Amino acid sequence: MKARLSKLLVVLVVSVILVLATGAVAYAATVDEIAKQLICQCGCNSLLSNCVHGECMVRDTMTTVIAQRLDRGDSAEQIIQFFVAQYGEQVLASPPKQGFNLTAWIAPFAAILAGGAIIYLVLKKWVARGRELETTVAVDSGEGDEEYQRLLEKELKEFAEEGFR
Amino acid sequence: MTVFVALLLAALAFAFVIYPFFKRKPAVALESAEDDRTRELQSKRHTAYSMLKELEFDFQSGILTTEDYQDLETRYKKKAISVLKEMDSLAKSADSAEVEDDIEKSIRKLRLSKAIPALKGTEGPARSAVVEDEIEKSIQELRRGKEGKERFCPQCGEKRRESDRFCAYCGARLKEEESS
Amino acid sequence: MVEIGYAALFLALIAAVYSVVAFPIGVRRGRSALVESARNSLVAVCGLVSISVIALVYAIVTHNFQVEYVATYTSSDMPLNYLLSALWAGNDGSLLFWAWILSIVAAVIVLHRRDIGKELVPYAASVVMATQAFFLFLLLFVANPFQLLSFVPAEGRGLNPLLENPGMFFHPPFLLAGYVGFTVPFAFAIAALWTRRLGDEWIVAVRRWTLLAWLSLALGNLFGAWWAYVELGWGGYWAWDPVENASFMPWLVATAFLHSIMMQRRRGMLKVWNMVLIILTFTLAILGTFLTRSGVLSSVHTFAESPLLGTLFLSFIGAVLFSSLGLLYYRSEELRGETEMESLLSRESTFLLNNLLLVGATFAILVGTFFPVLSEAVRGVKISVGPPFFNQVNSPIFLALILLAGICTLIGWRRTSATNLVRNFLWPLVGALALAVVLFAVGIREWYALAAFPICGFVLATIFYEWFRGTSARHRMRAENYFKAFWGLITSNRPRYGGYIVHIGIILFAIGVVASSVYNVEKEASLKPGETMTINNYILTYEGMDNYETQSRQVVTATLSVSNSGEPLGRLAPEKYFHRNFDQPVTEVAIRSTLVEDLYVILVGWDADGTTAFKVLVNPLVNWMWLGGIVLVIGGLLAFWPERRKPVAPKTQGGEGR
Repeated sequence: MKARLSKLLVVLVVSVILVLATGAVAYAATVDEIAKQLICQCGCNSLLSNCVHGECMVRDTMTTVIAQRLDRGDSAEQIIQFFVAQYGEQVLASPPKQGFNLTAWIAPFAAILAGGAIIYLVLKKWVARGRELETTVAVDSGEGDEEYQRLLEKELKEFAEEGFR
Repeated sequence: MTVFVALLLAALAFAFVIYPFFKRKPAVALESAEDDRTRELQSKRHTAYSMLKELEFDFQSGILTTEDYQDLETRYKKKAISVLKEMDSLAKSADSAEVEDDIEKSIRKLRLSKAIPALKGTEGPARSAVVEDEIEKSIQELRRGKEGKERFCPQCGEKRRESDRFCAYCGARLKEEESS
Repeated sequence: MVEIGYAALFLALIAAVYSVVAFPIGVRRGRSALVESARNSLVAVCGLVSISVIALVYAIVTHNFQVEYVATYTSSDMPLNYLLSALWAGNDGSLLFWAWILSIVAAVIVLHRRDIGKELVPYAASVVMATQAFFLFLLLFVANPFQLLSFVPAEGRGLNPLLENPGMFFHPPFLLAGYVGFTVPFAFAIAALWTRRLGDEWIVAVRRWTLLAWLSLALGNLFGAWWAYVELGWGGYWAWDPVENASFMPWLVATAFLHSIMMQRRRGMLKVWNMVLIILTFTLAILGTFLTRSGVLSSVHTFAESPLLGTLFLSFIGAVLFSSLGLLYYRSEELRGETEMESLLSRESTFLLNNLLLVGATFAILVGTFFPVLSEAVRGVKISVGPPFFNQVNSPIFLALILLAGICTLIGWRRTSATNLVRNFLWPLVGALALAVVLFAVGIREWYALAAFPICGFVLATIFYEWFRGTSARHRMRAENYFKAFWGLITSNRPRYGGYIVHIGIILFAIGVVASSVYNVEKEASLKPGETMTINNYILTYEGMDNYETQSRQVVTATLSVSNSGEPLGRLAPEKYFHRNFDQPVTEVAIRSTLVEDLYVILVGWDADGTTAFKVLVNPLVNWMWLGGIVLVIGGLLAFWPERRKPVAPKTQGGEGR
């Protein structure tokens, strides 16, 4: 019973962490924070804030636009929407959590949960089999076993020296 | 120039690959002498031993309580012992099966042989009596030879069979001893 | 010389195909001469490919620019060390390097005198040679490193300046060697299925090879991250770009494999799953090699390539998957174990959970990497999957994994009583909670840091706690002093304690990652000479700009003097330079590293009037990542280190009782 509880506790803690994690969305108030949510459209495929091309007109233009609109009072979502309207969904650094794209977000966790369920069922089967075997195995050590016991001790010592392979 | 070098390379490689077919000394045995069941038992044995070692570590580090440790240790030791017992009985039956095989072979050889010197000049029932005597003598020798005297490979020290010409473990050439 | 290189590859292909066929036929028919001939052929492949490598290196070192590869990746002014590294700088060369390492590995396998797994070797060698034949075929007909130009250029293009960094000597070779290394366990697994020797033999034979390949891949990834950090100049070390993902996925699955073979050895469990894992690892390794070459998913790395190469790779991967999974299915009946367990709460369960999380993370990365392609196929809309996705999805998974590492240390095999659980977990848990409270009190509020640091602390505590108890027990039993007892403890069971050290390395690495991602500070400033900027406690004063020319580049340097809380720390000089042959200017970052944090300065640009733009970052605990990497390697080597064994002929029977 206690064992079950402890296992449940572990599962609970892990689930809480999992759930909290994906909820990470902060307000974005600076150019940099917004730039981190966009992909530089110059073809380098990195985040706008990380485009390392020495001279990149696209990056400079995009950054200026963000700065201007922030000054104007636009919110982060409005600015991002503007870019999506201009370049398409590919300008977003990660798929929006809606529609078809939701599958990308959900798939890994769904797979893990499904796998977890399978493991749970398989484990139960194995534990049941273990209980069965315990009751059916005849537990008797006959005489003449001392010789084998000595041999066993000797081999165990050798095994320790030979090491785990 | 390059063509020459390329051809030379090809020739060398080819020679190297073909060489084993012309070697005088026969190559090392390909299969080890165990059968499926023995291998399975060895595997089980290793599993039992490594579990016993792990349990010991866990116990020393305080992960297992004393009762848990003793309970699990006894269980695995019993398992290991039953594996050892079975391996032994397999080995014995394999040995005796070999001995019986060899005896049958020798008997057949003797029965068919017409060149035993002791038979010279005997006829009919006397002849068969002599043949039976010879057979008995050879059987005694064989039994002694297999079960009394154990033979070992001088190179690696493992057991070898009387009739082996090459050690099944290390491949060394063994002296042949005729016993009949 | 170049033609000899090509001819050698051609001969090697013939020899490899011969081996593929001769090994199984020779063993089947009991023709040991044929088997030995196949073995010689394999060794010949090694020699021939080595000759080919020598030919290419010779062409590089003697600046034979008529060879297209040499002209594309080298120039006359390159120093010798970078010239040698040009062997793996480009696509063709790295495929040749792959084939070379594979041939050496194959030779070692067949020439190694072994007592376990002897019968598997011919079949494993056949599989390895089949892979070898594939790569040789690619080299001969699709990606020829010895391709000649119709003229002799006066000068070569030279190495891409981004590649001119010590990382170039370590990152590609370790990565490639890691990929190659996984061919060995895969080959032995197939051999085991083929010969129906479905016990532990193949696992015993491959444990140390797998460890080596895993270590090599880990090192390759670590060097890649470090290189990106110091060279690329965006202040980060991992962008989740498709090629990085391609080298991370096989490593994750290989980690799962290393854990689950322990289960098979100790408890005879998971025989089929182990087969699946190694097939997956090998497939991902080949996929990694392919993704780096094909340009299917563009990234910093891709060597833009012919679609033919991509098609061939994908076909090979498909054939491997189909045949190996088919063979597995065919033999699956015989692989059924007699698995029995005692309790759900046991080390076995934690190992299974570990596998689940590792494969889950791999799946997450796979989804993210291929989703753009999928999205375009299904919706016709191009979509990007960048770091935010991977970070958000993977962080909880990795955190749970680390937590598991701590939990499994203190749970026993088969079962754990509740009293034991409480007793073992109490102190580490208390410590972790105390840490959480302290962190909160100090002002840390980000939930991720509040979760991650205590978890890392918890796991470290469990490991040290176990070491302490093990050492004390040994000290008591053998009256050794604590140092001797500890040393004796870790050398008495190297795989186990090596594993613990690897876990410690991972934790240090994780701490570094969390701190530098959550707490890094960035600031941009445009300064005229004499002006200062502050970031955290640092004050940077822009002194001035300088420029100079070297043989191949024009360099612009900006010097800043740095002080921290009043104490002067010296100067930093970030640069930008323009290489003769490459139009994009290259940034050279200036970093001041301590164990606590890195001060990272990037020269962004300058105006005509002398106003210079800088981007400055402070990355806390970054160096813990590299430190963690070193610890990981130490642990891996310990786990790998062979015990001194007397060379004993194999015992076939247990109770010989003489």
